[in-house]
Amino acid sequence: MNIEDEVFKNFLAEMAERLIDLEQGLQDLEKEFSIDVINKLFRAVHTIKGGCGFFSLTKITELSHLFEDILMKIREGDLVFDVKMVPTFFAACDALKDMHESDDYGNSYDIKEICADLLSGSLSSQTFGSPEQQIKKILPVEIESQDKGSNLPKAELHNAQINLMPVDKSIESEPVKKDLEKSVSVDNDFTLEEVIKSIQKNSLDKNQPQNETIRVKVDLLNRLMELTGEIVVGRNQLLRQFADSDNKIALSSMAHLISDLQQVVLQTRMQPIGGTFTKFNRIVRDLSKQVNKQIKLVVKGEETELDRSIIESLSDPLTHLIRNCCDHGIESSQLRISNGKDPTGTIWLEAKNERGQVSITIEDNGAGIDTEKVKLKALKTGLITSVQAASMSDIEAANLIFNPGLSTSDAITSLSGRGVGMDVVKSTVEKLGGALDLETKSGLGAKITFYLPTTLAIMSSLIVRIGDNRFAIPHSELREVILIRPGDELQIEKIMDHTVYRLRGNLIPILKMSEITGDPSQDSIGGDHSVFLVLHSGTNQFGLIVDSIEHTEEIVIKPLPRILNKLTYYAGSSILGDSDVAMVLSANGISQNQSLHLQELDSLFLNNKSFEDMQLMDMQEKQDLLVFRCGPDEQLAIPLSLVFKIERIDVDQIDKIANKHFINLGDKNILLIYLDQYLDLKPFPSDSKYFFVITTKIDRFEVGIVASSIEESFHARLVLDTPPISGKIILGITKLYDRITLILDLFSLAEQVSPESFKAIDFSGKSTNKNQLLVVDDTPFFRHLEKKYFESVGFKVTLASNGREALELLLEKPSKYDLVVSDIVMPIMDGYELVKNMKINSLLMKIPVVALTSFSEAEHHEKALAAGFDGYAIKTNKETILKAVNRFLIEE
Amino acid sequence: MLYSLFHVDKTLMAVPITTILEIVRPSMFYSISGSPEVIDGLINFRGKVVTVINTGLAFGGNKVETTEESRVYIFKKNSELKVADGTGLDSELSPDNIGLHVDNIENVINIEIDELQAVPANMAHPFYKFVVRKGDDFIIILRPAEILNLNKDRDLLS
Repeated sequence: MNIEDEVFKNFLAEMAERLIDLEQGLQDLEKEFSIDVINKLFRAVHTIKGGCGFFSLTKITELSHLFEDILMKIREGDLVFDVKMVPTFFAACDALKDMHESDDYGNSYDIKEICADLLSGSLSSQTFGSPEQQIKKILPVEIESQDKGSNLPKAELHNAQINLMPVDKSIESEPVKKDLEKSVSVDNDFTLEEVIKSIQKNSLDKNQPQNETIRVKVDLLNRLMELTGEIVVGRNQLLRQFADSDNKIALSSMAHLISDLQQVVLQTRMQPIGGTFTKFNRIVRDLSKQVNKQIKLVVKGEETELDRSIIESLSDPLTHLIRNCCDHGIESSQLRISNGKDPTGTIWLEAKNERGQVSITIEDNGAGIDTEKVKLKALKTGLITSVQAASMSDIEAANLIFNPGLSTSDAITSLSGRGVGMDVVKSTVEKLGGALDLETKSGLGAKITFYLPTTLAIMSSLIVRIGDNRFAIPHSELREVILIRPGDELQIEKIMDHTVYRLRGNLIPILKMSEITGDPSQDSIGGDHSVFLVLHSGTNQFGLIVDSIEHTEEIVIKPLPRILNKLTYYAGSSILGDSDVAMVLSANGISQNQSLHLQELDSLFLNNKSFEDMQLMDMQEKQDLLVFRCGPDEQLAIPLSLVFKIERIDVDQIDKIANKHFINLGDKNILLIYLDQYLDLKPFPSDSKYFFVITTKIDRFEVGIVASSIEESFHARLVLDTPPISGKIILGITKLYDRITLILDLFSLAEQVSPESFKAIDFSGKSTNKNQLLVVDDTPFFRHLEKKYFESVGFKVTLASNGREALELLLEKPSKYDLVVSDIVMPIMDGYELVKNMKINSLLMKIPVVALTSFSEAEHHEKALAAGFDGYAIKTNKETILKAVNRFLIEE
Repeated sequence: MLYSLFHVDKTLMAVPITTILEIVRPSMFYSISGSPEVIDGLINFRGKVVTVINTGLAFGGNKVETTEESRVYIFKKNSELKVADGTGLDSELSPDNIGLHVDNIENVINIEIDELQAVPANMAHPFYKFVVRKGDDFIIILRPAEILNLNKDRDLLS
C-alpha cells in the first residue's frame, strides 16, 4: 500500500471518529450549553475541515469551514447561542456523515441548502454588526471555495479512469491528458498516473478483505486486556498465599504461562509508531508547497512500539505540531538565507524508549516561538496581567501557547491560527497519562517532547506506605528513591513555606502527603531516618516523603469513581496482590495541584530573600574545598577550584635566600609562604622531614603555600561565620569534621604576599559618583569574592546570580547602576543573553558591561565583544578585573 | 414494586431492589487520604473497587459506625441498570458502582405506585423522592442517583 493510500484511509477512519465526537457533542449541547462543549465541537469540525482540505474534498471542506466559523463566533462570544440552532447543527453533522460515507466523498453533494440554513440560523441570533456585515464576513469564504469546487466531480473521474485504464498507455494525446490533469487537482501536483493508481487501489481495498489479519472489535481486545489484568492480580494473590508451600510446581508453571499470556495480550495492542509517522512525509511535502517554503522531515525510531490506543490518540496532536512547524516554525527560504541558515528547514520527528516510557520529539530549526507575541496575545485575551508578563521567563511565556484560544498566527488560514491546536495537544497527552515539554530558542527553533507510557493497561509500580495507608506509584513516574540518613538533614532547607532539597544542584520541592491531601492525620510518622521518592512529570521533579518502601508489583489501575474526581492527585485505585486496595498516585496530578513549577520556586527563592540572606544561602551551597593543616592544631581550607597542584617536598629541597624560602618546581623557583607569618597561628613545626606545597591557579601568584599535612577534599555546604581572628586573608570560619576550619581568601593573601604585583589600583570612581556596580555570577564563591574585591576599592556592589535576575534589577532602577560585571556561563539567562537584552533597551544600552570569566582564550574574548560586551577580564586576576572596570568609569 | 428497607440514623428508608447489585457486610474500608469524611473508603468487592459513602454523614446526621448490624448497599452502575418502573427512581444511578453504608437492614416490602406520596414541604430534601405510610411505619423513599453522585450539585465534597 503506498503512503497516500494509507494516509487517506487513516484519515477516513479518523474523520469517522470525529463525526462521532461531533454527534455526541451536539447531544450534550442540546441538553445544556457550555463553552466546553462548543470547544469540543469546534475541534472536531476543525480536524475534519483540515483533513478534507488537505485531500481536496471540497464540499466537505466548504461545509465544515462554515460550521467552524459559526462555532468560533459562539466561542468568542460574537454570536449568542440559541437552542434553535441545534437542529441545523445536527443537519450539518448528518450532511457531513453522508458525504463521508458517499463514494465520491460528497463532491457531488449539494450543500447549498444546508449552508444557507447554517448561515440564516447564525444570522438570526447574532448580536454584533448588521446582518449585511455578517454576510460579508462569511460569504467571501464561500465564494472562494465554490471557485475551487469547479473540479470535475470525483465520481465522474472515477468512472472515466476505470474506463481509461485498459488503454492507459494510449492516452498520450497531450490535450486529453492535460485536460484531465487540470480537472483532477488544483492544489496537488499528482500526475495523472498517480491519481489513477490511487483511485484503483481505493476501490480494490474497499472490496477485498486482507488475508493475513482479521479485524477484531476493540471492545473485545479491551475486555481481553481487562481480564488478563485481573488474572495477573489473581496470580499474584495465589503466589503470595502459597509462598511457603513446598510443592507449587503447577502454580509456578501456571504463573509463567500467565506472564506469557499477559505479554501476548499486551502485544496485540502494541503497534510500531511508524505507520503514523509515515503520513507526515506527505503532509510535510504538501504543506511545504502550500506555504511555499523548503522543508524536509527527518523521521527516526519508527519501530518504537506503543499501545494502539495511544498511537491513535497521538495522530491528531502530532499533525497539529507538524503543521505548526511548517506554518509558523520554519521561515521562508529567503529569510533563512538572510539569517545565515540553510534555506531548507528541517523538522525532526523521533520516537524512542526512555526510562520505561516512550518519548516523542518534534523539533524544528525554524524561528522558534515568538515569546513577545505570545505574551501580547495572552495579555489581550486577559490570560495574564501585565505584571506577570513583565516577569515571565521565555519558557514560561512559550508555555502559554498551551492555553485554549491562544494562537500567534495573525491570519486565520485553513492550516492553523485558530488556537485550537496546542491546548488539544496538551490535554490529549495528559489524558494518556503522559507529559510534555517545550523548549524554544529564538531564531534557532523549537522542540516539543511527549513522554508517554507504553501501555495503559498494566503498570509496574512501587508500593509504599505513608502513615496508615499504602500507595502505588507507577515506575514510569518515579525517578529515584533517596534515603536521608541522620546528619544529611543539611541538604533539606526551608524557603518560604516550601521544603526543598538540593539534588545534584537542582532545587526540588519536598512534599508531605498532608500537603497534598490537606489531611494532617495522613502524615508519615517520621523517625530518625526518612525516605523520599523523586517523582517527575515532564521535567518537573519533586520529592514525596514516605515511611517505608514495600515492594514492586504489576498493578491494574482502575479509574477513580466520578464522585472522587476532584482528587486529581490520584490516578486511580488498584487491588494489590494481597487483595488490599491502594490508591495510585499521579505525579502529574500532584504537580499540577501544587503548581510545582520549578521556575516558580526558583524565582520565589530569589525574589523573597534579602541579599544578605541570599548570600548566606549561597555560601551554604555546596563547595569543594581542600582541607589542610599548617601545624598540629589549625585546620585550613581553600577552594579546590583554585588549586593548581599539590606536591610533597623533602625539607632538603628548600633553597634559602635571605630569609625567604624557595623551591624549584618544574622550571620555576617558587616562593614558599608559611601561613603562620600572616595569620595568628602556631609556628610551623620545624622538626618535620617533609611537607606539602600547594600552588594555585591565580595569575602571577607564583608562590607555594606550605602545609604540614593534607587532610582531604571536602564537598559540602558551608556555613560561614565572621572570622574571630583579624586579618584580611580569612574569608570566614566554619566547622568541618568537628574542627574549626579557617577558609582562606587566596586573592587577599596574594595581595599581601606580593603587594607590588597585586597592588590595589587607585580607584578613580571614588572622586566621582560613579560607583554603583552590579555583579552577576552564578557561582556563589566567586560572586562573594568579586563583591569583596570591588568593595575593598570603594565600589557599592549589588549582586545577582543570573542574567534574568540582573535584568530585573536593572529594569527596576535603570539609572542606579554605573557598570555591570557579568559572568558568561550561567543558568536561566546567560551573559550573552543579558548583554543582548541590555543593548536593545534604550534605558540600559549605555551602561557598560564587562564580561568576567574563567576562559582566557582569545576566541572567547572575541565572542564576548561580538556579543556586545564592552570589556573582558579573567576571573582569577583581580588586577585585570579592576583595570577593566576602571577603564569604563574613567572613560565616562 | 419491591423495595429494600434500611435504617439510617433511626430513620426508615427504602430503595427499589432493582437498583441494588448486592448488600454486603462491611469488611475492610481502605481510607482515601484527602477524601471528605462522608466517604468511608474503598472496599474490594470481588475484584472491583467500590467507593462507600457513609449515609448517615451524607444526610448530615450521625455517622454510621461499622457494627455487626451495619451493611453496605452496593448499587448498580448505569450500564448495569435495565429496569425502570416509571417512577423515575431508578432511571439513572451513577457511572460507577457506589456503596452506601447503613445502620441496619430491614425486610423487603412491596409498595404500589399509588401508595407513594409527595414529600411534605417541611421535610423536603434533595435525596428524598417520596414518602410512604405502611401501618405504623413512615418510610422515606430515596433518590439513589442523587446520593450516589454526591458532588454533582451539592458541595458535600468540598
